[in-house]
Amino acid sequence: MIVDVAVTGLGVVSALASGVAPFAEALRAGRSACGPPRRIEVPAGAHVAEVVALEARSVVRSAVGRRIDRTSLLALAAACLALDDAGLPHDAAGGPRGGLALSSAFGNLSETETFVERLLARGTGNPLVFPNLVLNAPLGYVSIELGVTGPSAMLNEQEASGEAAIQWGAQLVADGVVDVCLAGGADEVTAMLWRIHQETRTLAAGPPRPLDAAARGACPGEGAAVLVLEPLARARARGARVYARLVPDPGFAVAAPVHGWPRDAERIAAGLRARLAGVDAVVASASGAPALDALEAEALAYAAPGVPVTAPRGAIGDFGTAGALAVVVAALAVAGGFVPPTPGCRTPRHPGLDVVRSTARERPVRAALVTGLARGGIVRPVRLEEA
Amino acid sequence: MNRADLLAEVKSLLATGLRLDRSPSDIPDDTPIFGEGLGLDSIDALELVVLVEERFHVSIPDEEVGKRAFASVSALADFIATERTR
Amino acid sequence: MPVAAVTGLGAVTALGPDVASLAAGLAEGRCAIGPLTLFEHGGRCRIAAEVPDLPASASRGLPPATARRLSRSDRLALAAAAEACRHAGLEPPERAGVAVYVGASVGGMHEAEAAWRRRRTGADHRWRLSRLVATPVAVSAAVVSQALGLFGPRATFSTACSSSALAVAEAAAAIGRGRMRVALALGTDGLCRLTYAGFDALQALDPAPCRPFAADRAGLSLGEGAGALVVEDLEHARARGARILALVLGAGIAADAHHPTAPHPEGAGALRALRAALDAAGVTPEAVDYVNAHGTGTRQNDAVEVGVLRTVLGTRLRRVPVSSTKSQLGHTLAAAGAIEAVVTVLALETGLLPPTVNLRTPEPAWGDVDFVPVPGRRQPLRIALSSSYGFGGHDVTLVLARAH
Repeated sequence: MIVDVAVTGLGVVSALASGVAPFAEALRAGRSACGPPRRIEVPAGAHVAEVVALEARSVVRSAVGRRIDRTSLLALAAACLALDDAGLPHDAAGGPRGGLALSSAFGNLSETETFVERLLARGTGNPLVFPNLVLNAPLGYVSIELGVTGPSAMLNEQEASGEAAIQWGAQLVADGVVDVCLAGGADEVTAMLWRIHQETRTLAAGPPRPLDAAARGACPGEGAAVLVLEPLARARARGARVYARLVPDPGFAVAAPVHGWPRDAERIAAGLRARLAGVDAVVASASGAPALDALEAEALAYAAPGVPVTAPRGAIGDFGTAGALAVVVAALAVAGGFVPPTPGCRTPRHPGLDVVRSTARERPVRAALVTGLARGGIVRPVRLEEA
Repeated sequence: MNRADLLAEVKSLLATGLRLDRSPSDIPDDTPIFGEGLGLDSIDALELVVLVEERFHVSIPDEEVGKRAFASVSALADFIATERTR
Repeated sequence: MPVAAVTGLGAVTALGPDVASLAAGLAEGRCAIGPLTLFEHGGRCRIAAEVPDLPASASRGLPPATARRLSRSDRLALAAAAEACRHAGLEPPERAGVAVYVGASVGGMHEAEAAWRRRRTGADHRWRLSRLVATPVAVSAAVVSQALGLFGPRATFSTACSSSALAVAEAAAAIGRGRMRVALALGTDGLCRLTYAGFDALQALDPAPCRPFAADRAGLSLGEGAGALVVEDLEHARARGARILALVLGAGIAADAHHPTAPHPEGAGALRALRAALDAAGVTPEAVDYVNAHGTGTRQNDAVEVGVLRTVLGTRLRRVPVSSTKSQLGHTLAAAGAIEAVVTVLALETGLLPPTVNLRTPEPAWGDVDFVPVPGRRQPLRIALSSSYGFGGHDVTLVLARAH
């Protein structure tokens, strides 16, 4: 028996805005969070998308949580916001029928940096820091704070990490294993990460321009998004607001350079085509990185010509779990009937693509697809449909 | 620097800079840099542009110039030699 | 509902480069924990279970530029995956739809550490992409997928020590849903300075080879390696004449929700996972013939684990052998789940119980437990459990059964 999966809560902590209503409003207005640094120590002319206000006090209750790292805190804050948004208590994912699926592309960067620096300099590790360095630290902290003792998982799929975690959680609900699942991801940005981008020449000068002909690079960012997923029948029974139905999907893979983007756009288009049936909006993975943008633009032109496309990494910056926020964008599109504009895109690179620019497209969105492209050839689409 | 020395430097840059599994002297002058011979990819291309800049202080501003400069080992040596006299 | 069968095995461990050497080492009761040689470490512990002679280049099926950048974890993964696919007799036409589920926690950290040092000392004037592209844990799955031509769904799990147990669970679940015929479940982790220094700083490492379940056990020993299992729909396997090695009857996944590193004192998550696994498998505690334990050798884990087994198996525990493969291979972190699943399948298939080595005197309160002293022994097995418990209290138990 397959259970219909409902999205009943959205939690967003992003450089653009935190909380679903401010986030939706900023998206609609076409604002971008990619701008001069406010937190990390990088040159004043750099473009980054940072989360500025993030406090542990409001979401950390346990004694153990005193040591929570930034990435885990981003995830926890988003999870709490999602539960609030769903009208559920914070222990709603507790017990045997609750689940948790999180992701992070790089995990706890800032403490990994201090740990390795000290290790290289002094030859020893800091025992206080080490427990926080496991990639699944967010899973531990969130499960401790919210009492999640049921099935859980931490996933990493590089640029499609957020989509992967959300699909794992959706599958738990669809299998009938849990009644409430929190699913999403978090990543942080640091000065060192920015410097790595700069020195390896993967940064644009100026704000990112996803899907634009003049795109020259992505904008490093950070943030988190968590969804509340429930069986549709249960959601209706408790009178929950349902944003959309999420269609579980294991994704697919195509031939690609291991460390790079696939080159065969037709292959990707072939895999996406069925998933694009009846779709009124595409939420693209495009970040302003030319190789990715070109690939995706071509694939979408083949598979979904004329379907409005939006690329939220122009608004929220680029990080491995930005795809979790892309799923939020898709949910808002279906529930709110709008496709947000892509900040930074003025002249689309591909003539066959309808990239929504300048102003939001207000129109019914019966179905939306997040493409979920990642290096190494993995594709993790997330399809949302009106409930 | 005479041409022979420049060629040797370019080969050394390729072999050690890109950490290839061969000695500089095993790279023939007319080897296309991005053909089958050296087994390089786009990540290497990016690195090579920066290595050439750092080592020889000449820049490769776009793909067009890159195609000419990287046509072969000797083409790269000639490109560097020309650019350095600007 | 489709049944998940195991039709191929692969392993690269400190006991050797393949399943045959692993099986031989298990049978001999050989402890592969020896001097740490992969890198320098200034702490109190100097031992590890290193994979000897890992070939520097892998890499048929990969372009030379990619092969140049494989991390240690990648090379371990590829070797184990290739062996499992060969063992299962999976030819290229059958490979296109095969799913790949990987458990990994280290990724290319060993190589990134070296790049970091070069950047800090000025040996490199700037960060170089080629030295960093192998860092993410998801890369090993891409390496295996591209090199072996496996283009089904792909996922990488990173839940520390339970990562690849989760991968095996996911592979079995995917088969059980009936939309997939063949999946490769894999675990890989190479040693790296960060992990080694971290565990040593926590004083979690035993300066001597670990002694799981011993009264004087003093911590874990780190290891490295990769394990791979081809998990396949039973009917599909039979139809193509594949050898059925074992069945994956079910899995349980649960969390302690207690502490970032210490297990729940009563093993709440471990207990939940075990019970959920038996439930999913439709198996009662009375049917369990063997337990391949998490058995790290830390004072806490072993105590909690025996407590959990006592709770579930009751007085039957004295008749159910329990052994820890970590006594021979060390703790292979994210690879442990898959490697130990391979060991458990071998035990079911051959009836050869792997021993717990270095165990001179068990904890007095556990005098009634059969930890399978060296040299191991032959015993027909039908149903076995394999458990893995990760940092942060993430617990997975697998239920495996003999093929006939």
